[in-house]
Amino acid sequence: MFGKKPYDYKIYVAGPFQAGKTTLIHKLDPKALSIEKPLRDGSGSTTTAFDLGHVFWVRPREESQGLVISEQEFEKEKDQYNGYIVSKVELKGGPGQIHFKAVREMVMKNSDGILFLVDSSDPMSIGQASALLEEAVLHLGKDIPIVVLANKQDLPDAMPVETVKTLLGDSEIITDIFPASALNNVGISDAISYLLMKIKKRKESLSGGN
Amino acid sequence: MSELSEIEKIISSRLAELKKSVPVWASIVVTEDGLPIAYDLAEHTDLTTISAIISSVVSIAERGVQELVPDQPLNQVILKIGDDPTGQTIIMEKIWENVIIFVIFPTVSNLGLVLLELENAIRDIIEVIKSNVDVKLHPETVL
Repeated sequence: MFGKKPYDYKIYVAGPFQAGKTTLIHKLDPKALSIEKPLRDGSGSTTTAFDLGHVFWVRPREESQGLVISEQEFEKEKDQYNGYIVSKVELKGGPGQIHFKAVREMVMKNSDGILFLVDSSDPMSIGQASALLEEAVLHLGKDIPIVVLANKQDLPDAMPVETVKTLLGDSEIITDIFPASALNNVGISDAISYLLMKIKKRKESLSGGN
Repeated sequence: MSELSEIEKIISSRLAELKKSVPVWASIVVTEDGLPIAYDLAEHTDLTTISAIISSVVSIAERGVQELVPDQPLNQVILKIGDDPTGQTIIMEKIWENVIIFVIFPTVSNLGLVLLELENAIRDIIEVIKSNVDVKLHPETVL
């Protein structure tokens, strides 16, 4: 299905080190490619280049927010989506460690929107998150559609969404923030389809209508 | 920290020695996750950026090798830039667990000689690393 047709939408999945970007991309696309190194203490891994996955955005009607599903799900339930509008979406994740700025700039290039992840259980990472969000907006433009995910809501010490939003600060940039657990695949499909609607509307307004 | 600074000093001095024996323009020893351990670079070079890019390039090459020749480790990445006589060659080599060396030199140099001197330097650097420090990836990376 993916063949050689270009992607309809490109989403840059951003966020600080250990925010859950790689987990999210692999939850949505089990065949996603990740260039990463395991941490030697066995506590996980760290992305050293990029994560690359793809999903389908299926909608019964133009104005519908629809669903974001994996290629496997789409192939399995293909008949169910007869007559639907089907778009291909690329998910690109960059390394979260701050010194990979140049690599992130390459990864985020030509993205249509930003899905920004924050670890809700780690208030200490919020400062770095703000800096990374600012970095992405600086490169992609202040009008770039953004959705923030207050991730790791499954953890007992996770902060509520409103607290995460307050700590992140800039309310002009952060208008849409959703609770999520990438690990349990909770809230991510809805957030991405919401972001895709924002991207679609922006593309339409830039092309002067429909 | 003082012990690590000492290691950085020893490795940097070995890199400077390499430059004296062959026309290497710059060299860096970095962790696999892109943090510099030691370097011999021109002042204007952005050490943080180049270290991160080295890490990414080697990671991507390793992933490519996994697809093409599974079960074989990646030893070296060579990049050729520009044309002779001003062209440059970059060698990136994984020299120890989590440690990569990067060197850049004019392509017109005697490649055999550069490789020979590089291997000598690598041997010395490995000795310093393995007997002094356990190089871990973030968040416990040395330095």
